[in-house]
Amino acid sequence: MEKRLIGLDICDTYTQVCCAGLGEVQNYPTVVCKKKDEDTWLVGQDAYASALEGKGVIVDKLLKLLRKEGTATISGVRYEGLDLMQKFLECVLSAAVREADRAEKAVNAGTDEGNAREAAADAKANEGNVREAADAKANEGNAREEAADAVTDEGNARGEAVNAGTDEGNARAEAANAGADEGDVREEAVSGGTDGKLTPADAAKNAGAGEQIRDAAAQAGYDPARIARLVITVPKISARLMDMLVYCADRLKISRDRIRIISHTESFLYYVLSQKREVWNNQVGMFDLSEDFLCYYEMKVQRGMRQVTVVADREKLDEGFNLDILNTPSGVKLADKILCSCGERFLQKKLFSSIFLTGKGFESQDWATDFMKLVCARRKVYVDQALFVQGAAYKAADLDRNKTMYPYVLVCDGRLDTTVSMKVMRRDQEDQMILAAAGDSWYEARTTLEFILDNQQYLEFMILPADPKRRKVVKLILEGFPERDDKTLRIQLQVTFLDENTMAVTVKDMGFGEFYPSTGAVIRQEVML
Amino acid sequence: MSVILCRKEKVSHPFFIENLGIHIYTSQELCYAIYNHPLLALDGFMDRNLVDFIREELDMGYTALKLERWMKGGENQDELLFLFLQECDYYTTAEINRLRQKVAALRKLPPLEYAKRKADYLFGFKQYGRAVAGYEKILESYLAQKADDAFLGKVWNNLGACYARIFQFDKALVAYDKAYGKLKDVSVLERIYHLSLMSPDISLKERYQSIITDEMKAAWDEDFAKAKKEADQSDGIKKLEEMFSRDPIRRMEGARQTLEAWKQEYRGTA
Repeated sequence: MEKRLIGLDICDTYTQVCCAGLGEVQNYPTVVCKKKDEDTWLVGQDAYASALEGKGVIVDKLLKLLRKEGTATISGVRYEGLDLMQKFLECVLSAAVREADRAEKAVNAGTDEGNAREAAADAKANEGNVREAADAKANEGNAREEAADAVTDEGNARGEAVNAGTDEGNARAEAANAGADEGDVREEAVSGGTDGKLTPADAAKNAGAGEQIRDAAAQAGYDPARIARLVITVPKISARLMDMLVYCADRLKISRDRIRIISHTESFLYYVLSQKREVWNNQVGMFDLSEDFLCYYEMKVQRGMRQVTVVADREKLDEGFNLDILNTPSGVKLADKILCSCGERFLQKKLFSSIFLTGKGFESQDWATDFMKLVCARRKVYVDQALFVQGAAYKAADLDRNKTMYPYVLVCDGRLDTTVSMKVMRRDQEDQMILAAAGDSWYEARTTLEFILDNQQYLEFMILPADPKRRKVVKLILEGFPERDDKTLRIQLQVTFLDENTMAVTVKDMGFGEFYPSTGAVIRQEVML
Repeated sequence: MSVILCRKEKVSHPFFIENLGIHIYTSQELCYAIYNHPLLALDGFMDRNLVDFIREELDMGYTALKLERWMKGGENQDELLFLFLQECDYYTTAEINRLRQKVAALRKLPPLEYAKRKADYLFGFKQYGRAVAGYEKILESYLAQKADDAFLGKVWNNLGACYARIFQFDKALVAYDKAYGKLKDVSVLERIYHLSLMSPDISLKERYQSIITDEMKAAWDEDFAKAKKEADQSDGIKKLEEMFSRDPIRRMEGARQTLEAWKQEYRGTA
């Protein structure tokens, strides 16, 4: 059986999952439901249905529950956030693998879908087109607009060029609106707490969610061996959340070398860098309008350095609004105005190659006429509702290659923007030993090295951010360490990062063999970058 | 002032340097031993066993190959040490050059003087058995016949000290006797007198009794008593007393460890 490369986007309200290059993106509300009196767990539509019928108890906001190490009590049994996330992911991942198998089988068997793919390929269309066609057939109502442009490449097709003002763009926008009417999984208004309260209106909205997990037998199909790589993307990276997700992966029997956790910003980078170069020649902006927040992402490519550096940033905007206001004409006007004001602030006086729009708020752009005019002026605009999950899947595919297709230094949320080095002597000459480089994942950056100190009782770290004015040297004096003959103070230096701005340093006296046993002296210090 | 990055070396079987009585776990320790104890590292120290250790345990196959080729070439064997130091990048070129000068100076010493220094060095590391062998080799050498009394007297004196340290008082007395014959030094007499105090079987020869005055005896007795008192209060004795005050199980375990340590030390001195 083929192993799958899976991208997974988990938010508090929705979860999307897809396998790189195969099958559809599947949407789920981030909820899990346990049937009463039996050990059956449900996700998606069945979870809501079961809860509505009073046959099960639903728990929502699983990511928050996991991050806060919270618990939920179901039928008198107390479950940790980790337990619930594990159940949820088992269902979602096995569904993703099945979807990939189905798509592969369809292609191999020469089904209509397979033929459509082939035909589309012949017509220089891309995978996105196929997916869109499949979307239409399946009436899943994903708001991902179809990549109508036959000449665009695979990447472009995933985020279709709206290019308002042109007939083509309008046609695509219409198509997008049409495709969204059945309701995306993300439309689910999940109850605020973790008690699983659900209104009939919520359940009605949930109709049309992606593949549903029917019963425990289906869940039993979870096979960790089928997962070659799993890349999980979350809105914002934190050490605790990453720890919890890694523990969850451990429980799911996905070894640590097969899992990565990245931020939405990094997914955005992978997604954009997977498009044609003209899409990201200059700066790229993105608005993510979700139920919970409005975020602006910006990416720029810095050339002319030793290695091309791509920097992306995310800003959560105070102007975020509840999408319910779009139900009234005055609310629509206000929302459009808010977006215009944000657009003017971020897009003016800058040269953008393209602008991306994502999030539930942009399932339809009809309400944002002024904003669309603003963003579409002199640049291409793409809309994609599954951008982050696809970015994660691109990364999963890249991890599986021997040589990366993204030979850039990526600086974004979850990665260091600073290089930390130390001066060492090598062949009679001073050299820089890099302990962590800009672009490294701060969560994964762990360096353990041993050094001999020659006639000095301190360590000096060179902190080298991209901005030369912020460069500095941090001196760590080794108080309590023994004073020995020259070149016999052997230390172990361990460098980890608590977040992108905080380096944790541990220095231990290792002794010098039987000449000088270790004194056990240890220093731990946090260094602000 | 500088920082040196250490290679990752996973040594599972450390190399034992007999002359120093220590195990070597890293290339840095080996460099340190060579650099700080050149007298012990000359003359066959870099042998096949050590080259195997360098290749297999330190994972320095290329260096081992170079060393082997040099050994087979029959060139100056001292260069093996410098070659290894250079490859390890633990000492700077300037430091290695300083060692080179030191070794050259040692090599320029008269053979007996060189041999004596080496034996003295072993004595300093409590390698009494090897030091005895070194001193005896000097005394048996045909060159010793031409050596002056002062030199030979020192050798006999040091040989006596070695024997005394390994409780072979009879042999120590003979050596000190010879040393006094060469040096005519009162300090040697003092050692002979102290030997007689440590071992009841040893009695002072008549010719010494006539030389040693009552004042001298009184002063030496005082020194001996002082040394004995210090020994009674030494860390080693305190540790033993502490050990015997423990419960029987821990006492036996401590006794086992101490005995093992003594055996190791004795083997090193033999």
